[in-house]
Amino acid sequence: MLSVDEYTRQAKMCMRCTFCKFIDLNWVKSLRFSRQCPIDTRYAFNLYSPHGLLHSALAELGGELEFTPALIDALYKCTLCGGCDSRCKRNLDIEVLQVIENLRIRCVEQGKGPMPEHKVMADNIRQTRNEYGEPHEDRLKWLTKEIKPAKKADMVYFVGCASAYKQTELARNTSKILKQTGTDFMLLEDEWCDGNYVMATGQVDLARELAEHNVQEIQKSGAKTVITSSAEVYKSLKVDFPRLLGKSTEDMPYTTLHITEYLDKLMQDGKLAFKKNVNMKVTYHDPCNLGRLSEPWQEWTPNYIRVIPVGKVWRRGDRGIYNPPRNILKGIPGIELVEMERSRSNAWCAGSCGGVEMAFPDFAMWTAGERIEEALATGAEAIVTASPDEKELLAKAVAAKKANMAVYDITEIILKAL
Amino acid sequence: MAMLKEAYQALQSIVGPEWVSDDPAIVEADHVVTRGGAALKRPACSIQPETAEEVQGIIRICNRYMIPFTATTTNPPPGLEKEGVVFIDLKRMRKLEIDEENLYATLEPGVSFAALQGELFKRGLVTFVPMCGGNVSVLANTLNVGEGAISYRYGDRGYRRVLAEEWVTAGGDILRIGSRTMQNDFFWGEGPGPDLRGLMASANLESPITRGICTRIGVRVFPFVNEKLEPWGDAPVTTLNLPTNRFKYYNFVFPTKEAAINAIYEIGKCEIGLFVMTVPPWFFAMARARGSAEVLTGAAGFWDYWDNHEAPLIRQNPNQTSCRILLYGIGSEKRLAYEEKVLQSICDEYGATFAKASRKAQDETHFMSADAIVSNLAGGRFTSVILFESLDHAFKSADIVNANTRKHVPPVLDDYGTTNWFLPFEMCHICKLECLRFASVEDAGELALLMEDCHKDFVDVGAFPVKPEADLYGPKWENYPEKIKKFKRLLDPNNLAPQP
Repeated sequence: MLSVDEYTRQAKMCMRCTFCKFIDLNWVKSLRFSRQCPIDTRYAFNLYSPHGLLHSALAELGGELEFTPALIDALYKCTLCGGCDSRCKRNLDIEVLQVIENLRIRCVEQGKGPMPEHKVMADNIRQTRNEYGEPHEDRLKWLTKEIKPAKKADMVYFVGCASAYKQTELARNTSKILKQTGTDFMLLEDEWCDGNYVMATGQVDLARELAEHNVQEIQKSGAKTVITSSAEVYKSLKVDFPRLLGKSTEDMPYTTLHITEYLDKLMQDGKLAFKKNVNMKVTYHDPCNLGRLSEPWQEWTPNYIRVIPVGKVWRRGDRGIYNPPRNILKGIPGIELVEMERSRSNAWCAGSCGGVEMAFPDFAMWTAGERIEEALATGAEAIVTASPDEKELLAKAVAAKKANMAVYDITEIILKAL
Repeated sequence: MAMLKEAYQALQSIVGPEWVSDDPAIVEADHVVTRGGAALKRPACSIQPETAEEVQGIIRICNRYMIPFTATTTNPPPGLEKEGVVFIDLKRMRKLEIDEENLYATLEPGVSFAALQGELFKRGLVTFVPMCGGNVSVLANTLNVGEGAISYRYGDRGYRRVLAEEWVTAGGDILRIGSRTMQNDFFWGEGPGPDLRGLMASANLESPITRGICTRIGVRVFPFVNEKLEPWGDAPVTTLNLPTNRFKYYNFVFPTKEAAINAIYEIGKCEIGLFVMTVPPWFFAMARARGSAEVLTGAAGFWDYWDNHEAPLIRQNPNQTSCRILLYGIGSEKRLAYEEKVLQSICDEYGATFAKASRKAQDETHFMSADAIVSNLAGGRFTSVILFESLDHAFKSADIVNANTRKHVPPVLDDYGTTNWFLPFEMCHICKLECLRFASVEDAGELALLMEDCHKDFVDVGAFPVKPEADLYGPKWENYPEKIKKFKRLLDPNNLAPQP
């Protein structure tokens, strides 16, 4: 996706300062929760770090390094959570994440990647349009008699594979919330996988095919707004689809909203107030795809004067969807919201991003376990998130640790309070 | 260069197979050239010990098989000019204990300054975060240079804060220094017998890794205000809000450099402030790039501010010198009011004008973050010529750097000789001079040549730079490299650690 010149330029800018490994330093409050990069924290070899991967990108491009087993391992264990990218942009403004993504694309192009599990996922999608290989005709099986999407509406609900097949209650919750707030919505006639993990694992051709189809479906529906309750789908719609189609987010024929953004707006406009008490001390986990990775995509052709990239609009991670979920939680009577040490743009990845959970479930579980430890340190009874995949992984980590903590998707809490 | 299979297996037996690797990609990532200089070789393998005993085991194996080694935590280490090096990465050694009653911390190499500072703030204590950033290793940085802005009030160079130490010498022996010798604590550093700390840490002359690997140290920490320093903002635009009843920033401008030096000396004599420093004009442009407001403008913001605001001002008043002080109500709020009056009086005497005085005390770089790396934004690469001198002598050394800059690098930034930064320590007893020079990534090699020429001239004026060239300075400085080599032979009989 980056030109070779730009890929080289960005990688060369790295001077191995290691800011990428820590959360924003002004926010460090303890040794235990000071680190940002899951692979660096777990494996510690320099290769398993953003700067190590940037250096490897240059060495591979220069023919000094091949895709060795360790390089492939480090490259695909990286969760692409974007923490490094946000940290680097405090000082050096390097596109760290884009270089790592491009290295994955090169790995696929050379037939060395992705991991076998990612190939299975891609095959499933080609055959059944969902990552699990479930029958395509079952995609709307989550619907119940009570849930009646409109035939025609201004808003379309993009469900996503996880909510359509695995965590179907999330799809039902979202529909009920929309209904209870008086919002008409429709479903796409033929929704396909959003391709978040396809894109992340470097399989761009398939990702582009999925983007093209889904955008066509959205256009066909006539909806101007696409709403979703999945962080992964949100990022695909808002960032990856335009990127794959060579456009900027603002040039897409639709606006993307996460359910929390929509409900927050209703609250701000005085159209929504939570009535029921939900007595609980909770902490909120920012999904990477809804937080620092969710900033609008701005297509840019490299053009420099001196070192100044002319006309570039930066994505630095500070404009993510951080406040809406918090505003909602704070607006629910009885909820006490406490923050983890690493929150908002400093959030520790829960481990499901980037296709990591598929290929490296043990490492993903370790990463999620770290997040649970941090949540427990706040004294919260529950951890709330806004991603089906992250909810599932966090729940597994809680079970593995036998921790006394509930795990919720934010839609579950909202529904309790409505 | 591949190492003996037998030696590799022996290393695996020390740390377990998961923590040692000779995969080309692993070792490629360990040998990074960042600013030009000698070509480095890929290590033979990379290894990650977790305890001092494991470090000792690794070094003993290196001695048995005569394999050179080096060690690091965050920075690229010396010693990679050789083939077949064992790269000992100490990042997994992250133990930290704080004795808040007795004001010291015991820590291993993998503990960063930001992590230590975060833990100290919770206890009403503080440490110095160096200018290279809170991400660096406390142990490595403190043994080597270890200074930060607040060295002005709390003392000088890092190694003078070090208490007891625990080393694995390059020959494979454990060397304990200070109270660690007698009991299992790191409270004090002297004795028994001669104080061996100086033998191991030779300050800024060369890296202590040439004689062994330090696995744990005690460091002094200092009392601080009980009020919380609250972080603000979403990364990458963040800051620390300082309690306004205890802290206040002042920027002030002197008509000449001489007036600035004299006033800073006076400030030191009056013992006011948590730190005081000159502010090179490009700092203001850097602040603009870093986004002290709510938008981070990056390189474009830097250049816009530099070209349109700072450069014209400098051309108009080339001798004008800006300074900044953080007044510090240590002990009480009344103390802050007192410091403010003293500062006003000194500024009146030396003709300073206040550029900005705000009750809003926010810090971006001196307590946790220290964003020196942002300097790369100006051109792609920068180098720092760093010296430690008296304040008045530092100005002479700065002139040398200015003269050489004009000879050398086609300047990416036409700095008009103003990119020298004076940072006094120990109430102005000593001054850190950091001369920053900027180049494009392609011109990074030129910066090394500039550094070489400056060093040649420094010898003649008796300047004291960080990491001087041993061949150049040795003959004039009592042949100190010979003394270091003697110590090295004692502690590294097989000459396997990096060379001084």
